[in-house]
Amino acid sequence: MPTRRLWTMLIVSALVLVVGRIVLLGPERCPPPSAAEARAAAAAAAGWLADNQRPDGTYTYAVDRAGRDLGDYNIVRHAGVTLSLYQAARAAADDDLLAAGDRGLAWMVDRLAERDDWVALAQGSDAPLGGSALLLAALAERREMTGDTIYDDTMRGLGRFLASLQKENGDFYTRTNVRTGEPDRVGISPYFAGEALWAIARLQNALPDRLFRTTAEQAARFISTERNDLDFVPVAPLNDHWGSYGFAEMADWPLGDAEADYARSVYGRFQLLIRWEATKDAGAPYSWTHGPERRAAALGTWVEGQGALARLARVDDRLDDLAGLTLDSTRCGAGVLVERQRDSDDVATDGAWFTDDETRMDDQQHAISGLLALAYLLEET
Amino acid sequence: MNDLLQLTIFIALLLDPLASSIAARVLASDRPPRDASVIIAGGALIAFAVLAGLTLLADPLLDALDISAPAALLAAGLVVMVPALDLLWQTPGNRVRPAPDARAERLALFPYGIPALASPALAVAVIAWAAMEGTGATIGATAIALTAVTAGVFAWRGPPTGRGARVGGAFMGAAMALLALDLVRDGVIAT
Repeated sequence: MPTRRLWTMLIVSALVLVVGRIVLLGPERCPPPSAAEARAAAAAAAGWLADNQRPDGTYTYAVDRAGRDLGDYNIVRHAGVTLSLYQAARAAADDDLLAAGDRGLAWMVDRLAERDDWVALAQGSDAPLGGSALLLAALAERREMTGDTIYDDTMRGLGRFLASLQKENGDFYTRTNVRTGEPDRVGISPYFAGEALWAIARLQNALPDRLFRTTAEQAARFISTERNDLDFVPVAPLNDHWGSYGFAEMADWPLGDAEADYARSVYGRFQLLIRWEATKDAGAPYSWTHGPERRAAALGTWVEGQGALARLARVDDRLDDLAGLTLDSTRCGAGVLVERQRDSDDVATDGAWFTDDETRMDDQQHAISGLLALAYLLEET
Repeated sequence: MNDLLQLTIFIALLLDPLASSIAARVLASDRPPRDASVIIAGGALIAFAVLAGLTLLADPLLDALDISAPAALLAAGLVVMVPALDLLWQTPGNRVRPAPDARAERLALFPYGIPALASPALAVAVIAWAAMEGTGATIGATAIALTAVTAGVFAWRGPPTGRGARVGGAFMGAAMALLALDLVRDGVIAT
């Protein structure tokens, strides 16, 4: 017969499971969206961006739930939003969204600075690396969609700008002064290296050049072998969706073993973040024990990153065991996005994601990119 | 290491050959040899039926609980830590006591088959492994591990007691603790 000790072990095991369920392992509420549902949600979000765009090509930066404009602006996010508008236009073959993206592009073209052999997106004398990288990615998206080569020289100039900011170890200086040409040697950014990697890898695939390829390869090596050791990565690996995009873009170059290993570790990070976020929608007590909702700009990047890794896993034999897992995780995150999206008669709020009573334009940007990534993955299955 | 072999070793570890041998000998003490065979073999068959059933039900069960396979690995790691700490804290004996009036078949079912062999830790672990490694591999590894452990229990007529059991149990506990940490790690990094 069991002794008291065995009964105690059984009871403790049950308690561990119950407490674990409440604190760590709550239900992951992410009803899996279909490709059509993901596309519809992305289209609604793109509608928010386009409907609230200003005549000068800028976007409404942030509004509260009542639709009141909260002001502020950010040039890097402007470039990112324009990229997502092009993605949405391409996915839906929507000329209105293309036109909205072109208005946003024209605003950036007016702010291009040329120096030496490069071109950079600048605000005054300041040219942050991220803005030029996302502008380059947006132009690559536009080129793939329209076949229009009118911006090819601009793309090459932006590529040379990114390459000019690369350090010896493959990392990048984060910005430069376009008047002096002197880079900021102090500032750091966790995500700019990934942004630059993805943009320049897209450039290499569109307009091949040895400089672009070498720059991308060195950036990929830095991200996969050195970046985790830097101060701004408290818990490795950094959940960098841009880097994941970059690796997926380089899938047939081919990708090195270090990069493939790193991609596997980043999958785990995105998986954890997405499933933790999905638990917050399961109601009490899970919503109490898993912290406040993260904004769509965060969740969207995890879905984007996981979607990019799912694309990579489908073509890279070293990661083929992750193909199903990355798709499931992407779908879970996209399901949370679909569930949380605002449905309203007010164009100032319809199709947006609100957190703490506020939505910001990059909430829509990242959600659009993530939702469309899932739609493509499901349609290509 | 081959995935099936590794899974078999992990399951064998959670079957805890030392504690199982001690439990089988305690339950079979002062009984005819046939009863010992019934308890050991019957318990193994019952444990296999339970574990194979859980393996087959893993996907619908996790769906019903709304948790992903990596989250199930994390849960398994947490529960495996319970017998691991128990073994590090005290001897693997003293989990069962003789029940001279009970039928052998009843002892094979409870407490030998369940929960001595098919323990909560192993039950949660096979559910997680079924979701991650596949149903076939998990059932196969369970069958091999149970066969090996049962053969060992039959053969090991005099498992250690006292200090020998305490030291052996501590080694088993340490190995289980490492496995628990590995499961938690796999649950966190989702591999």
